[in-house]
Amino acid sequence: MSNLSDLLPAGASAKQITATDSGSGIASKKPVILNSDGTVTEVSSSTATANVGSITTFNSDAATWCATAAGSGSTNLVAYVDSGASSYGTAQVGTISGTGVTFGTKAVFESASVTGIKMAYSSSLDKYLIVYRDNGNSFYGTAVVATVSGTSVTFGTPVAFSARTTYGYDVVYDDTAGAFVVQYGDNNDIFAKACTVSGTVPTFGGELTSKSTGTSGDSSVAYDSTAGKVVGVWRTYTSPPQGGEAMVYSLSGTTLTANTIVVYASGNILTGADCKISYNVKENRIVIGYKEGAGTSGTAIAGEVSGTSITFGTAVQFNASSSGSITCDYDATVARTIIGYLDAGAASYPKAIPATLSGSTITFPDSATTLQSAAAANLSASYNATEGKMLFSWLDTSPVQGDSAVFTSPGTVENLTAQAFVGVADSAISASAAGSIIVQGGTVTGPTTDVAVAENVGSNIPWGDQSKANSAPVTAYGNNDVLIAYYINDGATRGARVVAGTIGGGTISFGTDDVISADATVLAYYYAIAYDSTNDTYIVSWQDYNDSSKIYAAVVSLTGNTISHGGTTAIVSTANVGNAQTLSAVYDPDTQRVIFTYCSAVDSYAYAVVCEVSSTAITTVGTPAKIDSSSANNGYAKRIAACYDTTEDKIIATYSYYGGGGTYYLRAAAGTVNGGSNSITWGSSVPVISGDANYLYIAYNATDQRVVFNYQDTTITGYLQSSVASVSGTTITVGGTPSVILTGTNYYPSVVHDATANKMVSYFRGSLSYAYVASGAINTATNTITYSTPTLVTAASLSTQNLEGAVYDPTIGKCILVSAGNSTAETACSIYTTATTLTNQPLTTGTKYFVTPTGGFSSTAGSPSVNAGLAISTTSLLLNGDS
Amino acid sequence: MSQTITRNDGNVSVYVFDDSVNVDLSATPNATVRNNGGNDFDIGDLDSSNATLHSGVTAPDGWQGGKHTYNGSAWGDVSGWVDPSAGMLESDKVRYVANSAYSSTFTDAVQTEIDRIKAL
Repeated sequence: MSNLSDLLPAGASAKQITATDSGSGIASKKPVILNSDGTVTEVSSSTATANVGSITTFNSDAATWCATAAGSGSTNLVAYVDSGASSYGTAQVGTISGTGVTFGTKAVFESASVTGIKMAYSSSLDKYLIVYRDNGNSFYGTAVVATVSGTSVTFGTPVAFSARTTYGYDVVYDDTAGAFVVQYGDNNDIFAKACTVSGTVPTFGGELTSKSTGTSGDSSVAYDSTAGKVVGVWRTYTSPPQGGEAMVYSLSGTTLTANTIVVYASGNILTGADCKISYNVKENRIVIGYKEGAGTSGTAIAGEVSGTSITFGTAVQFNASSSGSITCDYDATVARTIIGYLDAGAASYPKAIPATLSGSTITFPDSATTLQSAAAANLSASYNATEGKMLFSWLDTSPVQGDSAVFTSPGTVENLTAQAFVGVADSAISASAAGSIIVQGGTVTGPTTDVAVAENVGSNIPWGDQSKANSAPVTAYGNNDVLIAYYINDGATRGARVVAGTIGGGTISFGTDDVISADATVLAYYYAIAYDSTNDTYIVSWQDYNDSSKIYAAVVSLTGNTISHGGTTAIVSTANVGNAQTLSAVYDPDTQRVIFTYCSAVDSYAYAVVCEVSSTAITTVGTPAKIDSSSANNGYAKRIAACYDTTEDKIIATYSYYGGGGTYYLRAAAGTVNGGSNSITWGSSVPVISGDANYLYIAYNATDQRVVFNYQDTTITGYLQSSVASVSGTTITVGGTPSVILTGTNYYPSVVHDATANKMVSYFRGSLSYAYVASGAINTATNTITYSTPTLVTAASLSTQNLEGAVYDPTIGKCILVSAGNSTAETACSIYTTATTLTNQPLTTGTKYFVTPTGGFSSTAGSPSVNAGLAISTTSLLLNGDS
Repeated sequence: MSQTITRNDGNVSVYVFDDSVNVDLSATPNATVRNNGGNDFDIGDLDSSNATLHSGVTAPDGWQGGKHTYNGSAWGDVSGWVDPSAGMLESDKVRYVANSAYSSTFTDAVQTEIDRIKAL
């Protein structure tokens, strides 16, 4: 009789293995990779910064013609001409450890003068092939096989493979054909030979003339592992054309066949000099670094091998100055091609710069890193896969010696490959502990997915009376509704005016506008609105132009989009505010007070007044007090904005005396509200920028716990800028260099926090007075923010005084952009979706999911494309991955 | 006194060291040069099968690797030997001449340097 369990098919729980974490720990329900030592590591992505390790001298005499190649494990071989020892061909084993390299005893492979050393490594043979010009043997092209054991290197017998005076060698191993391919030239032609190695004996096939006549000694080869082809490049100096040429080799056994030559750079006689080619595995492109034109500037181009030909992208300059000794290799750790060169514009210092490929498009988003702040020559480089580092070697000119350094390439470091993905951690595994991994055929319960959300500007939703010139809207969000306060700029229609809209079904339904001022003939220009979350009401304040611009307020409540309001209360009956953006209103839920801030047109100081409210009226008006009276410069204000810091429970006010110049800086202060006395105590103000600013906006990001200031920087001709600050108590610490939202003279850079995307969204008036929107995430380490390229919202010139504004609706997780004017294009709202990636979202049943390089699951294949499985419910993933 | 390593094929002298330097052509995997004033190295292309170490010798003035022979008792000159520095320039000059970008002034200067080196 069998046990019952023996009669049941193996269930999900059976599809598990027990594995040991490699040392960093694994979170629950996260994908993991299997390492070569049998441990498992969580799939992750991190950022590496450029780093140059300590410079190590491998030869105390001149080491010219340096060639560097990575071998097995952490070892590398550096071959060079030992100019201090009769220019004999010499090599040393360099072993990388961390960011350093140590060298074994140097060994001579040719006891005669040599030049032109190049070298390649075959992992399948675990042998190096060194090629060089043997000056002791009629300058013939010669090759020798090198074998590394530990820190020692031994050599076979050198073999002359070309009875020519040879130049411009390069060599690469073709894994498909199982042979090295050597490319070289004489004074006129380019040739190639294939070479197999048995033991330490190289055997060469026949010589192929790759290009007849007019070629120089600049030549390089690389192996395209996807196409299984070797690609050669060289420079030609006859016309036409003068420049760089490339060709795909076909190889069978040791028989090479030439294919069509493709010109990749047509220039002058120097174009294509110092060329070096390598293969970028991630983008399946060959990359050529070379000198371009008479200025011999450093340039790179990418090409795709298809069959026996190549299609090139556009060349991109990476160094404007003359660039010598160009070298490059593919750094698989950051999936970028690293180009090394000597910068003649910087005293021939050796430098490294990473190239980012997207298809055949090359960009250089990172600046170059100087490897040594002294002149160098004969730079060479190779990538060591075990250590995940580049090793650069060069001839140091002062003192004259051979030097080497380990370079950590900058970029994104990912550990995911289709081969290595093994499954998903069933639960969290502590560092170096053993845990359960659900593998192919098993079902993971509880994984979530990351969903990319594209930016979207919704269609125009008109509000207000479209026949009127609606102006200066100020908007607040309440409880699934918005309230807009505005005035009608026709010189006749009066009254403090508001209109409400309810949000739902992907749109906003606006009701009829309402005049909330006691006197319908009042000319109410400028507004501020605070949402009272306790009473679910709006406190609307306005400047009464007919009453010396004093500030009045009323409580507005909504039923749907139907407005009702209480009586009018004078908030400031002695002050005289001057213009738009001279007042603001903020609700403090902690003390349940409304704080009005304003700029007095009487004494030019910034003020605040604290008010107590009920559900229908303003019941108590505190005494207005200066925010900052330490000096006229600090306290003077013509513009003001304020927000509430929910973390520190502070009111943050920012103000400026724009046009004042000198030390009338944009400033900020944090205040603590005292509900009992209806007063507020301000900390010392600090400059946000040491300059003049106008059109101030402020918002609090509760996720990052930062305050963001948006403003027009009037000292640099109207650029819209943004600054970020942290707040502790009443101490405000403003971050580094302000970011530019948009250059040129532009206006009203409103700002709001989109908590769903955790980005700040700015809706503003940009070029041609059109309305634009941009978003950006805060860098909390530097207290800076970088906005996206602005997106056009309304292609209609907005009238003067038509402030743009934005609010965030947490229910729909989107922002609402509001503008006003004389048409439906202007007096309208748009529901705005901020571009982001939403994490920890439920799965979609029936959808195929992939593992992402950042350790998540996505319905979109990434790079690399790694299958995860099929969602059999919103919380269950049936693994059918690549492993 | 000095010691020299010569190739068995043609007795060409390729290294000269002080007698105090420890040279072992039979060392494995490479022949070794040690106690060489901080410049120790291995020799990968020569060993006891294809080279000979002679000690107690006095190298001729202007010794260069590959320039002289030593047969165990007497020094001689390698027939047709050209200083590699001049040889490299000679081969490079052919390339310069073929390239119209280089002026005759330059190639003439290269020839002058070749002649100077050969006359040393």
